[in-house]
Amino acid sequence: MPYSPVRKRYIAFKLLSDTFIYYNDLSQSIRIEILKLHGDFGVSKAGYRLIEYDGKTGFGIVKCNHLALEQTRLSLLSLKSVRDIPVIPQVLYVSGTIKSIRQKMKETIPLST
Amino acid sequence: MRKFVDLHIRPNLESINELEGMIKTASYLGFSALGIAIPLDKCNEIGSIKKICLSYGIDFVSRLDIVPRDRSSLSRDLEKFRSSFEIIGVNYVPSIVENDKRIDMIFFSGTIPPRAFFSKEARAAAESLISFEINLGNFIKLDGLNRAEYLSRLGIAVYFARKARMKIVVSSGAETKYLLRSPRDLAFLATSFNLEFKQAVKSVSDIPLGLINGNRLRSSSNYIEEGVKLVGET
Repeated sequence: MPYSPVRKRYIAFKLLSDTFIYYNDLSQSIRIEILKLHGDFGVSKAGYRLIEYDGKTGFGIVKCNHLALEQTRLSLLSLKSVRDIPVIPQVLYVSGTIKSIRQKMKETIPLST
Repeated sequence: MRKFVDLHIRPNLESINELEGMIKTASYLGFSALGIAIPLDKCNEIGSIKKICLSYGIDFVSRLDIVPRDRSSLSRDLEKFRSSFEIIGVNYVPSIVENDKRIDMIFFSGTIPPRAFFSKEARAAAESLISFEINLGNFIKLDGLNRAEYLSRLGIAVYFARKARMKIVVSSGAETKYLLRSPRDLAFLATSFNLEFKQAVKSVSDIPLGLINGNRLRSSSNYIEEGVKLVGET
């Protein structure tokens, strides 16, 4: 089985806002927040990627390296606006596989919306 | 099920919509009690705020924030308002705020906390059972070097507060609904001040609940003295 020294972590979140937020804007804003909080080195080590985001429901999944989980989560939570639109981020789950986090989100979304 | 409390929100009471929005968001995020700082000129609105809180299933906790000018003014304010509010928070001012059992908690309200809360001050506060409050709204609001300075100074203060075994309360200190975070997210943000996550969760739930319940008991008619209450009459 191929082995990767860096394991992945997936963070499921919900973004509460009064206005529609676009995927690209959010992705950029989270990256900038990691940069502000942890610097260039932090961004390079985080392995951050916004896997999916639904602007209608506000649900999304962020991928990062397991060693940078705390930094990424902290940056996500300290996000206060996306393109000057104020937001409230809420971390729902953290998981090691995309399959399990999607499963958990499937269980959550009908309850929350 | 664990109950969570945000003991410090500072809404703009001029706008009822804004206040209601904050209470609604806090309820959605999972808080069961909210400590709302009431300015002295808005004391007559406590009834209506309580009603709004009740409509969202939130337990309203009245709170007064005191910014002391000197020791005598602090003592006067405490004497005057202690019985009217469930929680009294005092903005920490070195050499003015030290040991007074009427104070529930001290906090740093400015963007840059003073570099003046060390071992001696923490021990004096701990002896008077004063809690130390971390307001995370400032951490979210600030940027760049100011945030770095805030993290560093508050981190030092938290270190001494923990060393002196002061109770730590984690609150949002939010002025708008966008500075609110869910209880577990607040606890996670507090880990950046060298608190363990488990301890931080307690600081958003058990510790503030204990403070509220203790103060409510003290202000009830059944309360006799510390550790003694009237359970019934024969």
